[in-house]
Amino acid sequence: VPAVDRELVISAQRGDRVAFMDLVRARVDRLFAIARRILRDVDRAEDALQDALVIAWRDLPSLRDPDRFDYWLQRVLTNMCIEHARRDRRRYAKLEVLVVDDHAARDELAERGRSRRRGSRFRRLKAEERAVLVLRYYLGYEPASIAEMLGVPGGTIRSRLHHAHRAMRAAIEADARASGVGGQSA
Amino acid sequence: MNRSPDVELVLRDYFADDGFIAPDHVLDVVEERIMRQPQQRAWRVLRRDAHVNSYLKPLLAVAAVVVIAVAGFAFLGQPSNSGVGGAVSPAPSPSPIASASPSTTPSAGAVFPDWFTPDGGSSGAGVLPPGSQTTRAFLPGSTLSVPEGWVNNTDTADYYGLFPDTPANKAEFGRSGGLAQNMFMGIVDTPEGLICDGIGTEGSTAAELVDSLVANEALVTSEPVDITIGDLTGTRVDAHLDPDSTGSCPPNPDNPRRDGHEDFGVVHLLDSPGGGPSS
Repeated sequence: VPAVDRELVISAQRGDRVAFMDLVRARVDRLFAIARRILRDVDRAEDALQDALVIAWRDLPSLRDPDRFDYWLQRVLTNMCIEHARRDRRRYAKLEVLVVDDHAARDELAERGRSRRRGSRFRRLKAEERAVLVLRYYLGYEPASIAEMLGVPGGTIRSRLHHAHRAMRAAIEADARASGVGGQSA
Repeated sequence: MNRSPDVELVLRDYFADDGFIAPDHVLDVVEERIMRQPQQRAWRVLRRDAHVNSYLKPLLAVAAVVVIAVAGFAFLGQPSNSGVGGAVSPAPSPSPIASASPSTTPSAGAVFPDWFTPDGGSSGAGVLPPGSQTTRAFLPGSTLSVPEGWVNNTDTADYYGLFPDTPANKAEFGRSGGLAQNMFMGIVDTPEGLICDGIGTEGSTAAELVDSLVANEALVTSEPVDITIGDLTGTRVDAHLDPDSTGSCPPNPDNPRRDGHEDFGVVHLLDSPGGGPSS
């Protein structure tokens, strides 16, 4: 993530669209990654990111400290992702055809199965819980900062982290059991 | 041995950067959309963040129209509109501090409560001594009767903000960077957002805006009252979102605890014969 160009932020706050797009261009991949990890769907992540950036442009004059631009922008995006997730609770089922014709492919299939189990477990979490995990483990924020960012009490964040941890642990243990059943030798 | 899986390690691995880049059309769409999206004046966003309690509702006001809006200062301990001492002049003052270009820094020597960090785009006078105070940059220049304990956080050509130094404001500022209680005067040149985005108002004069508020089925309004504040005339009306209305404001992404419904308050809309600072 590039260092915040304070002058660029101030220019954007005063209505300079070119400055705003320069700021966004330098961060868009990272922001897209955040949205994808919370929403677990590329199309919905694109929609949420676009909406968040338009809202950010609209509300940028309210940003008190230009040095906190990145934190503020991530907060706008995270809350927009949660809103999008609440807006559309439908489950998406994606089918994938895999051709298994050799041992290497079977190994790959096994690995993808493990990954998918964790991904599936992750998708079953509420958007608010996924957001907390992304903020904690992808962006590295402390729980207190996450609480401030999402506007909820610290206890709620700890509760969401605890629940998400338990869910993920269950998925990992399921992986371990599946590996054991598969008869892999030590 | 039944070793407990290290969830944190797995999560960090799971979230490791995968080199995925945003499609080009994301930026294209954003660029196209912001060309049509005006920015909100800071005062409008600040108002959205403010929790308007019953004590301060009568104080909240917006001015209006062609282009001046002066907030109602009845809340400053005055029984009606006598808190505003009248426009000094609708034209920019020759005084070097009465500039139409907002200062980017707080005024020199301004003292603020130790829990408050002034906005980088403001030029507030800080803690105000009780008594008569005159705006320095806001146009039209106005004189206010200010009780003890109030702070001027912003004084620019189109916005003048005040808040009381209270535990509620201190707590809210620590939590969100916003204020629980504040009031302001502002220039309204985009009336569609007077109440909130999504519940618009129309008009370019105080009377037209009030008519629009009264006709808005999403609002409960009082009987409008003609007022005179200083040299300016206009209309005062109570306007609150109707709790039974199906209309709503979009959620505020900056403050997800709020559902978008907002209280409003007593609105003083004043016509400015000379126009606002941008005219």
